[in-house]
Amino acid sequence: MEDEELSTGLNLGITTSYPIKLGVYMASTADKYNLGSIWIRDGMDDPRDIYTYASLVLTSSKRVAAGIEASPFHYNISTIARSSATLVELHGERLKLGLGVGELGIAGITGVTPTHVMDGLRDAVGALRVIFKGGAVSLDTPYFKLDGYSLWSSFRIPIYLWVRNPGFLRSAFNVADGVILSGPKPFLEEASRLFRDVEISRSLKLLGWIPTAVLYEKESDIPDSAAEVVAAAAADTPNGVLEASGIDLGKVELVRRGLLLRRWDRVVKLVDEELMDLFLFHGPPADLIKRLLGWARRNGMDEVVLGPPYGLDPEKSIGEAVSAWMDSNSP
Amino acid sequence: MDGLEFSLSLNVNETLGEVAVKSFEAEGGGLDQVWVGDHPDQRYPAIAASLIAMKTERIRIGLGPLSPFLHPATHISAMLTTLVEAYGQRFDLCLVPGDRLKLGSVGVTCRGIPYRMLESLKILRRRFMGEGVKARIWLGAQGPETLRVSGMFDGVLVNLSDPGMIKAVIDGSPVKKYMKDKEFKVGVFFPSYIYRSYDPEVHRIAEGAALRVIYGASKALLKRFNLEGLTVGGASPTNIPREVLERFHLSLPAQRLGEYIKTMGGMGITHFAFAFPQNYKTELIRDLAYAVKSTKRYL
Repeated sequence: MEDEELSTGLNLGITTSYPIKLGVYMASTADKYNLGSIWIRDGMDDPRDIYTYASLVLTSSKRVAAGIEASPFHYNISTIARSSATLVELHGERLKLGLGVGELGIAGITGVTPTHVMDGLRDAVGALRVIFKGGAVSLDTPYFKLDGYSLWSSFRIPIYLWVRNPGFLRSAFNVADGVILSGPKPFLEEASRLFRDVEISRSLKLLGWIPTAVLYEKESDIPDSAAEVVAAAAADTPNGVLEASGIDLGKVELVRRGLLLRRWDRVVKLVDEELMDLFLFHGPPADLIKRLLGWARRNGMDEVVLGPPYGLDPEKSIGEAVSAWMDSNSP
Repeated sequence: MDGLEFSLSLNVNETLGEVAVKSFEAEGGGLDQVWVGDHPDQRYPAIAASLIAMKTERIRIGLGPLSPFLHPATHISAMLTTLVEAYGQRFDLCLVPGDRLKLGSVGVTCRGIPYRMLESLKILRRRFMGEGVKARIWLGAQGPETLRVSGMFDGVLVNLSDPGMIKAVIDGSPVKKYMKDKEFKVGVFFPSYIYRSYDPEVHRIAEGAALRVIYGASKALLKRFNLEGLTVGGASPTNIPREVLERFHLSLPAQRLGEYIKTMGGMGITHFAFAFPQNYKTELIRDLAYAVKSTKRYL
């Protein structure tokens, strides 16, 4: 596939660990450059509420859509349904609901270890689709129990699935309106190949969540915040994906232990160049974007989500990265 | 009588537009606070609270009553932290065990209520301290089991309106002891219909709301007041004696609110949350605001 053939869509990503101010800045940047969506990931142990955060981001723009990642293994499914509906009632049809397993922290925070993740996600998608159409749902599965649950109206809310595991990809392609991939680059590349090869609805969206760290001339070292993001991403990646990407499992196991103990100082030291290169795009804005865009086009990715940490000054880094993207991404 | 607070409880089964208009009306009328309730099939309260904060300037906003059985304490803390970050320190919180039937319909069971309430409070206090959130944490309670743990909270909101019943509940529980601490507040929330022009239709709605309070009342409370059996056999406002229903809602002409508040104030009650159907129409919110202003003059 030639680089010149495609225009790749750009979205911005943030997690609830970042101040609301940054989300608001992203919304205005997205408006200014006519970007797709602001995707907000839920760090379940983070101090901020993802639904209220999304509302504040949507309030800051009349146009941009917000995507949220929520785990039905963490939130009651009724909470996901009505918060999504509330967002649509207040802000119009600008919400994309992303369902995923949640972060590694899920086991520590909720005591739930989802063993049949895809079954659970499929059940959640099915139930939410009926609820959003205005129907009533009764459900009794190991994870979800609803008895004639319904909302006050019907709502148009596309449902995306957040996928880190290749075993889930085909199912995800079949049940979701869109799939967001996160993990090491080889996994995203493989998933994109599969996406192009299998027969699926043409309207299905495929997005890659790409952590980025903008570095400037005087900054030779990648900031610790980038190492933290990479550590969390590696820890959340299934072992099979890590192995397939040639990553030393023992190293990631140490990262996981450090994260469970919240020893960020230790974790940061465990993140080496290999992990950085597999999970992160980094460098000066123009160079970073050139490489990222080339990679996305080569892999036939329709859209990417620039993800944090962005850099020591996230607003500046986002502004420059988006500007560089606009310069480079003419079809 | 100093330190009295008057609040309006809002229902999130109304559209967010209506909720915003009614909050604006409450602030304009001089009420101190609005409460944003929570039910599993209604609008998400933190987003409603965010909208209210955006549309008003000074009124305090209470999130709740919320059930920590439905929302983990970390999630409740996140709601408050986000609101405070966006709008400043204007928020309070009220925890309740929750409506067993409603929670059961979304797969949530309420076991070990006192433990869960205290455990949630502990997590909330720790998180609020870490995040710089200054919010009062109330406990919504009625039965003896929950009232027993209320002393750890900033205050207790008792879901009753009848002065005699409230006195008996306070005197028969550790709340009486907790009230010796000046920082500990006792409030009440109840279905209310405070009016300047009587409308029998709204009175009937208030009786219906009172019936729901009876249905949700703890068995221990009903037993204590010889009201067991009221809810057996599909009770309705028409087959429960009116004098019983009257004890579970407050329906008064505006000029008589002062007497009620004076009686309650004499018992140490300082927070009054007027609930549905007081928020049914903006006109009723104006009636309440008028009654509260008159009450303040009267006192």
